[in-house]
Amino acid sequence: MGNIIYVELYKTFAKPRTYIGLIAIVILIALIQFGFYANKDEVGGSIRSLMGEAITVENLSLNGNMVCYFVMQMLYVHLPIIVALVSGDSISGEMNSGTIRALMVKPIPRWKLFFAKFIANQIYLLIVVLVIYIFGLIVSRLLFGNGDIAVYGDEISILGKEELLTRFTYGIALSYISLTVISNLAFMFSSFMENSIAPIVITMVINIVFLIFGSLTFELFAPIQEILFTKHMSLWIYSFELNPNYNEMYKSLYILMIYLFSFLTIAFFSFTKKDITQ
Amino acid sequence: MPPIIEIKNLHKAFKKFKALNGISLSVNEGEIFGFLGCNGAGKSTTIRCLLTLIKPDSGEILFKGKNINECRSEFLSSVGCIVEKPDFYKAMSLETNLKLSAMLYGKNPNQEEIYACLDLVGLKGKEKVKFKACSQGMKQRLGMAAALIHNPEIIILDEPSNGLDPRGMIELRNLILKMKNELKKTIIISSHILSEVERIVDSMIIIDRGVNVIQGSADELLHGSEVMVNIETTEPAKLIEKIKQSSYASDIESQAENLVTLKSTMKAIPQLHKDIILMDEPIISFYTRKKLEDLFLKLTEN
Repeated sequence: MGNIIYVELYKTFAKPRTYIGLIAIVILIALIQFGFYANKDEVGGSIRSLMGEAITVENLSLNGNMVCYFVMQMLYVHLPIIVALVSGDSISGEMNSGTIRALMVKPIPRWKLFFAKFIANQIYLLIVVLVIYIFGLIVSRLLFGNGDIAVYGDEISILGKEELLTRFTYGIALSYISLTVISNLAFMFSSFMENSIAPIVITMVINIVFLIFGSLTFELFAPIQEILFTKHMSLWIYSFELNPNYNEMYKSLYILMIYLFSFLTIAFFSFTKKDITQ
Repeated sequence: MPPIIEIKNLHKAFKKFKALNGISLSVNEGEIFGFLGCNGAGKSTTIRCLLTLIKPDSGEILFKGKNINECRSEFLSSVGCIVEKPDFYKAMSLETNLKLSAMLYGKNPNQEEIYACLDLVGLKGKEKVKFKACSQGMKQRLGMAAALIHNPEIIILDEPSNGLDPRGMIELRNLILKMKNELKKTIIISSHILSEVERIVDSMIIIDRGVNVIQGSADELLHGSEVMVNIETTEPAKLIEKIKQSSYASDIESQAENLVTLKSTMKAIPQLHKDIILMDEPIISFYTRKKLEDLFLKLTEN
């Protein structure tokens, strides 16, 4: 299994598109940091206008934690695109290029090939969230220093700097789970299709449609909106609440897990039962 | 000795289209086996079933007497193949592609072994070339190297001469003969380029619309059959009159201004040739038409 995972990782990281996402994240974070740095003297007003009601900075000075929180709010909407770029190409890219034939005639059970691809996708995803953690939190702290932040939830919460490293770590871990849902959705479409663009595009269309549908304020749609995965993607926010509603958090986690395993199961059967006719 | 590969009554349908309708064949160890048929005859589907890329609806595939579903790993470890065309990772070098391919067979060849394998197929000095920069001939050679890197018993080549120029085809033919004669491999080669196949195969099968048409050794199928002879002459009428007296020729006709055609048998050709020279007519050329092509056309004409 080690050899197969090595080969899958090698292939993933030999593709330029793998780096496009990572470079985009680093550039976005750097731009945000630069924006804060350039305006640090008038940061109160700047942050208020940028963040709306998410953070209030009254009595708080600009610090690395504040910048990272802002980065996470900005990126969690856009990260699915970056994640889908790699997992959406994972199987369909091989179908498209014809390399699937060479892969499937190796003396390896298909389930092993499937899980090797899944693990390679998960490692990429882990690298994505680690890049956010390192560049968003660690670098921001080095540039702007450590400090408290204020977060708007149902109430305003002031979170002390000594507990923020733990909260960010939990937040990143929870966002990893949310992104795995998107990764598996793209992976599932990748197992159905024979060109590498369609799974990425379809994943994004579903994400956008669900986001828009989830924001419609009609009573009629409320029960459906509750079970859309996009409604629960901001799971990481719970790690920044002073008194998190654990029931709601577990409910979100439970719904995301159902999606995550459903997409993975469908992809598994599609891949292992597939006739390779290309 | 039992056949190394045996296919029994294989059926496969894609929705309403019956791609295979009871194909059966057997391949003996150490031979070059030709798998022939028109486009859409079912060659690639059979090979894909054999390589477990496609699940047949019914029928049985045996490797050394064992059903391949029960020994899939053992069977695939014993096989090196090119299916349709050799596709590799475009951005990677030939060396890397070959290494990754070997790793999936559970091998971890060192650079020396990889270079030796590339050398064997004539890619010495091209180790660092990216796959996307390769000519079709180089890609085909890399496909061969990937098929050989784990030292399999059986090589399966599905349309290996696709896209090759005449020089590439000659080189490929020599490489296949080298694999058989020096490396003692069993080779299954599917193709519709009949002139290429007839030069190298030991036995063959012709299939048409998913069913067997004929299977046998190349000697039985080619040399026992009738052959067409074309004779170019400036005096066709006179030549026809003289040939009509020969017992080695039949169906003698004048096809074009200077061309006489007739039927004979492979065995009778030397004597017929001698007789025609003795007829003392001006002969420009004397040649037998491609034998396999005639057999193929005859068997698949319906």
